[in-house]
Amino acid sequence: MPQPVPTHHKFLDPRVLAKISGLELRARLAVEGFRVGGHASPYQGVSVEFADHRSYVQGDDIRHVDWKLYARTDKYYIKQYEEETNLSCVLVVDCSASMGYQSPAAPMSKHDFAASVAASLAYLALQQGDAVGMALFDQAITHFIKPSSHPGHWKTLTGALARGPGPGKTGVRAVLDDLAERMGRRTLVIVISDLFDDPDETILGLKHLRYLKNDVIMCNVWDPAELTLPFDGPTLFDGLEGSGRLMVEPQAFRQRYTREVESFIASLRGQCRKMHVDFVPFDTSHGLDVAISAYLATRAARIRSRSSRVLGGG
Amino acid sequence: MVVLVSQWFWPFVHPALAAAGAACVAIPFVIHLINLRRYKRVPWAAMRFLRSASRRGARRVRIERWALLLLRAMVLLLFGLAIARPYFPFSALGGLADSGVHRVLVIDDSASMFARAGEGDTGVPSTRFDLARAAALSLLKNFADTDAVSVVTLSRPVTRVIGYASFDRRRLVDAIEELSPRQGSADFAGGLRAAREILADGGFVRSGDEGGTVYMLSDFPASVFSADAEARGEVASLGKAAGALGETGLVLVRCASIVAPNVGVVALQVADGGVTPSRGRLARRVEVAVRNFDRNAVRGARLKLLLDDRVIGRARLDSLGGGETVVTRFTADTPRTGSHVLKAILESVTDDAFELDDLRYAAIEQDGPIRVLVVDRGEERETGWRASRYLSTALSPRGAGDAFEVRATAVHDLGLEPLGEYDVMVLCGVTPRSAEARDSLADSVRAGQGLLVFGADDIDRDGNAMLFGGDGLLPVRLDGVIEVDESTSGPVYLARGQAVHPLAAGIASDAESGLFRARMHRILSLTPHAARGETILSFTNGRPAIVTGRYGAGRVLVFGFSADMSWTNLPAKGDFVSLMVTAAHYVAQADASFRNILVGDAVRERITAAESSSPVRLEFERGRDLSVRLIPDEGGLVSESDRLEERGVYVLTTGERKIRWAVNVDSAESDLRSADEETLRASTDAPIRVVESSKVESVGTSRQSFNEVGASMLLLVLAAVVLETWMATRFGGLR
Repeated sequence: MPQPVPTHHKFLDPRVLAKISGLELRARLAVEGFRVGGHASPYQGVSVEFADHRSYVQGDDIRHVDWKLYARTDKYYIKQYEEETNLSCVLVVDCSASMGYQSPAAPMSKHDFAASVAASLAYLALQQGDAVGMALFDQAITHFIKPSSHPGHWKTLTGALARGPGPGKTGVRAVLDDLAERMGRRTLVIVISDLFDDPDETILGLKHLRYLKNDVIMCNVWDPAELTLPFDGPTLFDGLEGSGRLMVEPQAFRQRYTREVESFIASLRGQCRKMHVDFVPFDTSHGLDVAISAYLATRAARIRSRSSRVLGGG
Repeated sequence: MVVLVSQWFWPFVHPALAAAGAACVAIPFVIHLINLRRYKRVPWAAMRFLRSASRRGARRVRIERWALLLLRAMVLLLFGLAIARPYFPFSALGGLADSGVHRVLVIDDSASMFARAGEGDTGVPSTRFDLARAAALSLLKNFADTDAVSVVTLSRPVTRVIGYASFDRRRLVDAIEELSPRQGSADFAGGLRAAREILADGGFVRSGDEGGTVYMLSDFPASVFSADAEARGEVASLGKAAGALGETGLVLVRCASIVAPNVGVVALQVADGGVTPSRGRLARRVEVAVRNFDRNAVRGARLKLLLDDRVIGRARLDSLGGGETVVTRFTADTPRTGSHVLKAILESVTDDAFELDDLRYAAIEQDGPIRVLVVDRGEERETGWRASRYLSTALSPRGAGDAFEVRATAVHDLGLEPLGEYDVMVLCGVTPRSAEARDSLADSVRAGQGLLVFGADDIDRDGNAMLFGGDGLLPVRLDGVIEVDESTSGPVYLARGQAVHPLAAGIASDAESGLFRARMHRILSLTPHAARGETILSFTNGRPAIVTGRYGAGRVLVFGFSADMSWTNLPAKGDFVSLMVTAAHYVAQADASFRNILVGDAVRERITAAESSSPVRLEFERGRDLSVRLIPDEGGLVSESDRLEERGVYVLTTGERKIRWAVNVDSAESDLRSADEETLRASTDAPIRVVESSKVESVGTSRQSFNEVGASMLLLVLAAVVLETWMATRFGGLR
């Protein structure tokens, strides 16, 4: 008997999200849907460190009462936690022309998908008190927003994302180099792009970021048609980034094409693994939870490594 | 009209479907081109991967695409060919399949097939050819669809109407229905030979055999099947080959009754030259032979003779007995010069089944007196009737005004004579003594003049030997004089024999001729040249009596007897005159006998150098022009037409000359009696089958298998479709 789908969970489905016009609402629903879902959220008690006790006053949540101290002292004390406010996250969103592609079968364009992911992650990060910045780019950074943890900052971020893709080509290397210069160390950089650039150049840019101790999550966005080349019959492919035209019978090249794409993804994945960079390929027909999970897993790992450094260091 | 169909044709039961299949080959390519034009346009981001994939796989994809297109074209082609039901010759299959039945319809379309055979369904008299055509169509209907059929017609020259193994019934029916009888004579030997060759080429019979089935549809003239040895040989040969296959290989379908009433003109000829001078005209003796081929007598027939369409004589044949031939003699008052045509018309014959022989033509030619130079020893001319005198008397009995103008001279004066002014030279037992005289004589003959040579006691063997050789003047070697010893070997006469040469045929056919009763006391031993000499008449002891041959453009006749009474009493016979006149006409080439030809022959006229620059035109009745070609012949030019298909008068115009040619139906066609079944069976020991045309429904369905490979091709098509599907899937669904 099929299990009933929770109401909020459906908002992780891009086909549902695509029907929601507002980016803010879309991101919020996605995050809430993610939280209420069957996944164990690392948000509960892991991301917050103990700071001090204070006396219980009426109205405090009894869940935060320290029962062990009550046993020893016979008095009610409330545990106080220290919020993590020093996590800085920069969302690097590709706004090149290639991101505007949407195949007939896809629920939304790659840019819309990237914007949804970025907005969701920003919402989630701000909810946790993290500072979130944003860089929009094509061949260079076209728009940069410094990280901030102010709750109202989210509207600024979503406002920038709503601009849509531009006509420029994708140039990841220069953007990452530029970003590395602009940011301080130990920032979580989340790159959301189709990465339609020379992979060697992209890797060099990543190395630059990693050299400065930044954590990086590479979200590689694909339209499902770009993964499978589902066309038949003579087709004139018109390049979106001024890459000319090509008249082929796609069915004759489908296997070779998919091998090329797989090889590209595998190459990037391999290089990223070597640099301890999370590489998350997904297509626009997949749920946003993949991106959110990747973000939270990286965040948790970072906090764990910080804790171990604190403990190890006394 | 005869429709000739090309022999080159792929063997299909339905050639049209094969052609359609071949045309369908283009369909995959056309669809491919159309698809290329109907492309869709897609904006695309991941161009770098697409370019890389297409660049690396372009060559392979191109090969795969062409392979697939070719395979699809092959599927369509094979399917088209398969449903067209192709077959392969037996030899090509190497004995893997059964040998099939190849049936050859040999249809007689000769002149005798014009003969009336009864009333048709519509009341219109039907001919023997109508019977033959209906029988052929009936046979064709009886044949299984899988039988291969060829069609040959018999009239000379034999025509291969469908000269290959055809399965196309529509084409066969059309070809047979368009046939019509022609006026030529039947060539049974040639027709059977053609059938045998078609069977051999058809590839339906086992290696080493010549079998198959031949259906000969004819009236089978009794005269041919009792006399034509060559035809009998062909029947025997075919029957033997067919017998080896264990079936009836030769079926004779008789399209006539055994007896049919017919009266016809079988001969029209000018008996000799002019006799009486009359104001620039020559009186010629003309003989018209009329024969009643029926067994019953015919009364009231009328004969009319026309010269150049003007009636010059009439005769009434009161009674013609069954099988009787009556010769009617007319005297035709003809112009002294020019080319003319005589026409004999037979009228008022009731119930005549064959009207084609009621009319006969004869071309005659007269260019003024023929000048003859008679050469003898000279010194003995005054002592009695020597050869020159007999000849002068025979050729020009009245002197000036006769058809011949004869001059006699002594051999030692030959060098003084202007030989170029004579048409004929006669050597009566003499030989030119000087080399100059011999060369002059040879040059004259080579230029077209005639030469007669007679024997005599004092004939100069050595001198004549000088005239003989590979390219010598005489067509014989003179081996000396033979004394006839009647006490031991009996008397020697001219032998009647089978005289076929036009010079002797007329004489030999006259049973009353005194020539064959003239005794020979001495004869000249003649050995004809193997290549150039032709013996016209022989002696009863077998030695050649008259030998002819050509030398350049001229004709030479050598007689094995003397022209006087010293060796024979022949000059005393009345027909000696006819023989000499005919011989002189023959060597002078002044007679028009060679312009009397049969349907199926060709006009062939020598063109002088002066005429060669003028256009040559051959005109038939009612102004129809026929094609004429000029071909080189013996140093000159000869105009030659195609084989003529209709009887009548043909006028050849060359330069200022207007020459008439008479073309007749072969008189052998007039004999409408058909050979009975017994005679036909007796013509061969092989098992032949004889059926009447009205009973052909009972024959023609003996075997129905042949080497059809359509089913095998369909399997091939199926395999090709499976391969195409696999390739299309393997190559990514190429379209």
